Amino acid sequence: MIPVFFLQSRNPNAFSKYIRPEYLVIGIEVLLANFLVIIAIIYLNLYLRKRNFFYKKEINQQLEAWITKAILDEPDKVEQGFEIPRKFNRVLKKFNARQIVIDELVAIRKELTGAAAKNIIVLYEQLGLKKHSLNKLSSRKWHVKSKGIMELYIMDQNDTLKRIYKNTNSNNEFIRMEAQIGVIHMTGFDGLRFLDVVSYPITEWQQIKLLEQLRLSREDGQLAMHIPKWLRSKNDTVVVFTLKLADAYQQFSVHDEVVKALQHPNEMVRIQAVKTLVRIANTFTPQILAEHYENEHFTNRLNILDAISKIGTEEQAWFLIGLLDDESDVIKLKAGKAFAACFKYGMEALEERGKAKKGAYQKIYLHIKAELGR
Amino acid sequence: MNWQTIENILFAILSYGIFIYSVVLVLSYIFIGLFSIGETNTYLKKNSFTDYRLLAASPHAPSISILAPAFNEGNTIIDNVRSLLSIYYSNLELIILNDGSTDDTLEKLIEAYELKPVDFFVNYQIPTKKVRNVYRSTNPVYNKLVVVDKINGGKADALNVGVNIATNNYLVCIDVDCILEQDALLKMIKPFLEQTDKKIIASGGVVRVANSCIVEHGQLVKVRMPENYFARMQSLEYIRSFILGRMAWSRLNGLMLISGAFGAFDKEVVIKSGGYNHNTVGEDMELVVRMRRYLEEHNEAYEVKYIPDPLCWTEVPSTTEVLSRQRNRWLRGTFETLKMHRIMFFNPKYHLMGVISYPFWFFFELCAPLIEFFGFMFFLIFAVLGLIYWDFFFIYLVFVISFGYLYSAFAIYMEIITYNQYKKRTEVARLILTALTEPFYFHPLVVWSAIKGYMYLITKNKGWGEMTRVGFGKRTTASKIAEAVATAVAEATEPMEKPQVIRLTLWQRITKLYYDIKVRPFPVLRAGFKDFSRYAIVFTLLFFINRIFELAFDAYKHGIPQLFWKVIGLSFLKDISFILQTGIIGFSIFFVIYIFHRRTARIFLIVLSVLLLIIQVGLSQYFTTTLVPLGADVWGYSWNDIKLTVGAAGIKISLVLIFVAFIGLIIAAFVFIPRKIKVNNTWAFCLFTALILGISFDVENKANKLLPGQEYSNNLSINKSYYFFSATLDHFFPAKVNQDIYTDTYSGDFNSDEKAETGTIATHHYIDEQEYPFLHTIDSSADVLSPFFNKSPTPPNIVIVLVEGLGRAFTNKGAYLGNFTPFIDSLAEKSLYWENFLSEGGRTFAVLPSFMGSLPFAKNGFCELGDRMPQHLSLLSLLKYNGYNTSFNVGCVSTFDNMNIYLKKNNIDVINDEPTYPANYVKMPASASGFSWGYGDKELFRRFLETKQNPQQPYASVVLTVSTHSPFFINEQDYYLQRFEQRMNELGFDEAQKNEHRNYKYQYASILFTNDAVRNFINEYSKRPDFANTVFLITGDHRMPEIPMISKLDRYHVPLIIYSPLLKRTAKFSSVSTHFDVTPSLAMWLKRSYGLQMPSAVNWMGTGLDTARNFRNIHAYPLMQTKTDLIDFVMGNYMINGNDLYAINSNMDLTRETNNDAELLKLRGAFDKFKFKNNQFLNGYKLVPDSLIQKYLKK
Repeated sequence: MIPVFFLQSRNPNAFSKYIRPEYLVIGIEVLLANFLVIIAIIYLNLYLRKRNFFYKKEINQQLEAWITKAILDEPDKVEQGFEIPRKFNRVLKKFNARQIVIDELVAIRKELTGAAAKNIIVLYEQLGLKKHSLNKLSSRKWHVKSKGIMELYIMDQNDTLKRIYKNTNSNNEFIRMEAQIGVIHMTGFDGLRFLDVVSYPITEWQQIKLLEQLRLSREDGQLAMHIPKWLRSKNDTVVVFTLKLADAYQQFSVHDEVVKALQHPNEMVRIQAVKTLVRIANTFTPQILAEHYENEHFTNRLNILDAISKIGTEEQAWFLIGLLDDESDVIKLKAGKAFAACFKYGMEALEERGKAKKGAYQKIYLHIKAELGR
Repeated sequence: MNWQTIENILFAILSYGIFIYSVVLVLSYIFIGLFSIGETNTYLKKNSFTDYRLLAASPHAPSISILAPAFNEGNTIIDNVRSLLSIYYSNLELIILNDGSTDDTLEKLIEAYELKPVDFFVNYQIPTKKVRNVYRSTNPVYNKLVVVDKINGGKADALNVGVNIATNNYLVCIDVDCILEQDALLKMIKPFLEQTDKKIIASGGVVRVANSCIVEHGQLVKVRMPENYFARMQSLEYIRSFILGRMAWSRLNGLMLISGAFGAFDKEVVIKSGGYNHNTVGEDMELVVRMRRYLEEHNEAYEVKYIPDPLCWTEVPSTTEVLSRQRNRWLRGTFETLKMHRIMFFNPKYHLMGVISYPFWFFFELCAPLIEFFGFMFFLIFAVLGLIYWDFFFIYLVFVISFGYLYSAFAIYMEIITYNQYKKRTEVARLILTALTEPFYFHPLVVWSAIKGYMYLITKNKGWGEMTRVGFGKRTTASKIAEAVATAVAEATEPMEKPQVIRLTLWQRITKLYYDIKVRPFPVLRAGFKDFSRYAIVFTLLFFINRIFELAFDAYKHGIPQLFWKVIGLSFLKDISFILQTGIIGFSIFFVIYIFHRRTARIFLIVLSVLLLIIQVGLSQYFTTTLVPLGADVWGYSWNDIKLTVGAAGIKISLVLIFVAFIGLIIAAFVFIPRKIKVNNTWAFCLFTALILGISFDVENKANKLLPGQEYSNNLSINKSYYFFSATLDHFFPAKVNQDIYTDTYSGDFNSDEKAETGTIATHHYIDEQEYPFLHTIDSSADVLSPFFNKSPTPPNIVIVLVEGLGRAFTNKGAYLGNFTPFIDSLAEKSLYWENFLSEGGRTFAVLPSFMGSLPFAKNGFCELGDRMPQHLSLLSLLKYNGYNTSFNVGCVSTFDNMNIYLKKNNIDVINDEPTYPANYVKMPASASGFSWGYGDKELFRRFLETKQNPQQPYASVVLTVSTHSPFFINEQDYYLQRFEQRMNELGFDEAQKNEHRNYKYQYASILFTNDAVRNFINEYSKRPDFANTVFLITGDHRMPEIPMISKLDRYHVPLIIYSPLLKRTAKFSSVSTHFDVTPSLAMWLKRSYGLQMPSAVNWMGTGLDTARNFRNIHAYPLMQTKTDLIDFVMGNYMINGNDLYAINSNMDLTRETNNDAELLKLRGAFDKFKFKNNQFLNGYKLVPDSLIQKYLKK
């Protein structure tokens, strides 16, 4: 009998201790059953999607006639309302159908202004859809509530302003965002008063949305009055947004407050302050920026140099010349560009320097020359 | 803590490891599924409020730089760039990075977009290859476009140039041939605008499969399910990966990968963390990991965002080759990335990234293919060994496949309810059907590609030696190669074009070979030897490590061997001898290959070294377990025997895993360590000289003279590989047996009539050696037993008990290891007892033919002849002829060693082996695989005693025991381990002796068990009426080698006890007899005393038992150690083992005789004579004439 060498073991097969075949068989049955169930659900889903698609199409076809009328007819003609067949009223009793109609009206309303828009609103109200939207406003689900807010402000349901305004500082960012857009949609610049109280950050995305929404509103002369207060907000994003407002609406009167923002501890605020100052600059601004340069981090230094290249004067020439020897090539380039832009003989001076120093200077000079020549 | 405990712990760790791995993997997928549902749901709801168009047109939207690298895209570049220029976003800069294309990419761009070079200062914030030119369009319509022409440096380098040139804060890196959705950019950039307290450093989008989709002017017009199977399979894969996997990781903020095809980054963080790494093929993953690591190390809160919308469509590989290459590259990318950032592995400093993301990638992305691959390999091994529980295996397989199906179905479901790109029911059905085929075709292909990735990682050569520049193809000579290489190395320090690897043609190689050999043979030899030495050094070191481990493990397991320092010294000398000999052969082959192809030569060397090391380690392991070196006997066993033995032991998964890990380590050592070793000319010279001197000095023979002397120590110190290979060589190419009777070494008959020093050598009278080499007459002189027996009225019953492994070393009085068979010893005192008796074989294979038939060994033992076993006369067949009922009793299967065939040839009446046992018998404990040798000795004897005998008929029964066989599993093990301790106390051992014996406690426990079994047997037997007329013969089949032996003879040294109530007197004999002698003496006694009919001529090797009381040996017999090792021969007071002569002392110890050439020649001649006869027999000569067979066997 040959000997057993490295294969001896006194252990029973341990693996079977953990997984018993009968458990595995049960596992297989469960897995395969679930697999079949999922396949069934997939096909059910495909079927339902298709059905919904046609259902939606059918409803929209019926809507189409009134929408055409709403868009084309004068408001006084539709004042007495649209003729809604009873059958359609029955259709509207269904939740899904109501939502399909609202979605369609909201989409069309977004595209329209003036009389046509008003007619759509009339249709919305006549179909009793406001109640549906108001119900959503009471929902605990954030996405339902947000949607309700959106429907109400798009449909200019100004009587709900108070309820919507309450949500401008909601702890849910989507409810908050819709409410903020909503109050501006309904009341224009006055709606910005939520900036007094908002404690949650306003993201850059929301700021863009708010600015775009404000563009649709008539400008309000009161803005300058509010800005200093908002610039002192503890919410840094409110400060940044205010700086953007000052920029977008060229609020020269708040120049000094914006200059103060250069000292703000938050770098995002300081960066925006530099950008804003370009738009509301006065004769002192370039020098203020030049003097602030040393206090800044790299990114904002670049912003300052960009700003000076736009608004700088010969007064900053020596400041810029000093930077032409900076260890960073980017600073050299930006400073050179600013120097060439704000100093009468800047280009020539750079050319001389390029010839004398060769290497990077020569390339920087050529780069600036090419760029300014474009 | 003993080795068994360590084994158990190891086994537990590995089993739990595998179990935990599977459970964690399954749970991970379940969590991924669940997380994905939550995250997708939230995303879809959020998305319904987003009007992306707002962002596209707003002047407040951030500015973006799109970076698109292009290399040889001449055919499609114009359309691709047009498609990118049409992206709906106002604040945009599109940078096309022409990465040194060798086609007309740049020219086409210049022409189509009216480009002009502009002066541009490139700030190399991230070091890259040089930018040749920056182009801008003179047409204001294309003012967003910047085209950069740079020196080729790969995708990562091109993107880094883009990073350096980009003027905007957000970078979007895309593959130029990707098709983007209209709002892709807006969706991608939005997360950066939503950041509040956490910095968004990157965002990634979904990549979907564009194969078979309809694309017009760079725009996706219609989504269609790919027609190609591979592409369709990848569609499913991408759905799983993007909709489930990344979505879930995104929820955890654990994303480590953003697809290189489309991703957005914060430029500042990219620059701070160093940009793309061009040392990896997985630059996309590496960048994300590095950015994350950078922020973790700077304690900044950050997030990597993921957009689940389908944003980008790309064509995926549709052939196995391209797919395989892609997956190979992915694997390497993952490996390189994880390796570069290994500091994060389970490092809590990196938070979720270090504790979850990285380990997940490591275990379930990087290791998964390896685990699957080796799993499959184990499966094959187990299947071949017959160790697979097929039922369990199939159930498990189906379970795993079912889980995979469910996961795929769930992914398809998620796709349907979210983005529903494939709307047709038939398309979905095709996708599901494709999923069903995945485990059988696609998945194995992917795993194999990953394994190829691993192999590439292992074998890749980073040196410049194999690289040549473009344009070099025409040069052929080695000097020019060297020159080119030198130039390449010099240029490598400067930014340069990416060197392209070209292979030499066969003709170039032949020319080079000619040049090398003819013109500069010495430098080539030197270079080759230097290369060889680096591997040889590693090989030597590993060999020595194995030796240290072997000696340490042996000392741990069996105590410090005798002559310890001698053993150590000789061990290393023997290893060096082996290394020198293999070294010279290895180098010769290596060098021949080397001059043709260096890499192949290195691979050959690695393969050879790994194989040799594995064999060496296996042989060491074999030795430390069996205590004898493995020789050519392994070739003597049938595949079934090996399967049975291996199956009996059971293969432990832990050991297999350790073995695989060990192979992996060895391979890794040979791949990585030689690169670090520098062999200069001096060292090469010294090593070469050492190699040549070593061979000329003949270290092996010199070392042989220094053998410690004690058998076990000798065996321990030899090089096991050397022993194995030389035995194998001898086995397959045996030296011709000397048949020339005129040579000096010829000394006549092996049963020579020459006088031995202490007595006469018994001889046979051969009848016709030309026809029947072994046939001789036999007379009553062989009957030496009559004087010791009373004569009973009827012929006595014969019961032969062959005890497995019962050696004299631990049996009966005077046993040098102590008497561990007290009952057998007490029985010997009431018996005829031969204390210096020898078995004929070193293993069980020889016992039946030698003891029952006194038969020669043939080639690998008589029984190995199988059905070709010739008819012969044996004790069994002759007793049967004389009216005896014959039986064979064993606890295991009788097919082992062909025992059943042998017995049937002897007309046995009954074979009681394992399959014939009734249900109420208990088997020995089973091994890991559930296999047991069969029934233990107590059950064997119980069965025997319960067998009814016909009182009218005498019987002859043979009993072969098995409990004392490795692995020594016995029932009542605990009791016998205690009994072993008790026995040592009874023997008065001191603590040192006890500790030494405890190394073999299982062996001793089994011996005590068998001793008790024999006691019960005799006691029970004595109660039977037939006891009075029964003769018992008890002997060992060989001496158990699993306890160290002291001499070459020790292995054969067993007791012979003849016990019977018929005995007139007891006697102890010190003369030497062997198993060969039993049959002649018993046959002649029975013939003479009871008139049984016996032939006058027989083929028996033995001359009969010697009943001299004093020590002497009148016999001249060969002894066969293993089925292939026929190197031992005893004659008179001498023994030869191979070419070594030993004198046998009265206590059966051996003394080496180095200067007794006369005796050596005598024994060798006699041995040769036997071998000659044995060969004749093998060549078809009969053992006995047919007439005798007719008479005694065909009754």
